[in-house]
Amino acid sequence: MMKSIFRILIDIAIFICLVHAWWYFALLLAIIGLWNFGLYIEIILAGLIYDALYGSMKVTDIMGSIGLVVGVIFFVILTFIKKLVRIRE
Amino acid sequence: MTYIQSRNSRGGNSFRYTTLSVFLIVVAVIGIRFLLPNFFSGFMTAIARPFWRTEFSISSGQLMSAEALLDSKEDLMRRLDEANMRGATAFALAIENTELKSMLGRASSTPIILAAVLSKPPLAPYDSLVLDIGSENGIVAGSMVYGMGNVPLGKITDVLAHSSKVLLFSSPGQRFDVLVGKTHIQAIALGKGGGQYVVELPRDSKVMEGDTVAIPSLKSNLYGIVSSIVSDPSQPFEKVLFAVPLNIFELRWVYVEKP
Repeated sequence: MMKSIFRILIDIAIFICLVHAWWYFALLLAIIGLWNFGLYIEIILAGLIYDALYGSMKVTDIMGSIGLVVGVIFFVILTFIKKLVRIRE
Repeated sequence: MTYIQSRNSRGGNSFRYTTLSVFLIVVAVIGIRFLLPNFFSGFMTAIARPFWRTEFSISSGQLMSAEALLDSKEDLMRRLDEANMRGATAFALAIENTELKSMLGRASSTPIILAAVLSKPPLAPYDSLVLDIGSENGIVAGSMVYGMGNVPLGKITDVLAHSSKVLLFSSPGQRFDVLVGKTHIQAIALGKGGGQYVVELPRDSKVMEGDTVAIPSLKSNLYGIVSSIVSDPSQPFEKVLFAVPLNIFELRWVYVEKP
């Protein structure tokens, strides 16, 4: 229960950071969330929101998809690292 | 007992499913962006707009006390009087300038519209602005955006119903023609981000710090001021760094040229 509340709080904080374009805080919070919670898909959504708010709308413009690309890269790499180092009880 | 997770356990399958899910999400997102390019942007901007408007209102002093507002009003009235005195001369010169251009058949009749800057991410990789006017105000992609003093800042790239995005000329990689210094040396400026530009000129061009940079047009708008010159005696060219004469990160209002 506490973990769910913590996750929602981090999600809200990430959204506030994205609206204010504080992407560095949003990325830091997303990494914390990604490390602490399972299947933290919010990091990809955060990238998508950042691109939608500030990036170019042209689908061919890769510069307008940096948020999505960074979100996916962090998601895949950290999920892989978590799988390697996590110890199960 | 504690042990390191086996590669053959259910975790391996879970990782594969997760990766597959992410791949499908990315494909879905790209598909939606391709079919409905305005969907995500319009939806998220509609959600973020009230937050941006509130922040803009707070920074404009709308939540100040009545006493503070009165003090501020008095101070502003006094400064307005002073500015009016100074502005009278400039206004007369501007009228004379317009009349002269009109006599020569080169008068500008392009209408402009004032826009509030809702978002100006200081460290965002896109170096862009979000304005509070959109297609309902007659704005189209490609419209020029000016700062105070008619300083050209950028161009509208994306237009939504009630907001629009501006790509600044200083965005990294942007190139355009400029006239540098007192002798108006024509060169190509390269955007470096955050209102900063760089131009390469021959070493004997005699450009100095504080010289002006303009765009090659009849309006002769001030584009920037030379802030630094990096010269290497072993190189035939020197790098001239210049910046717009206003702080991009403190922008609150801009003018947009209507088509």
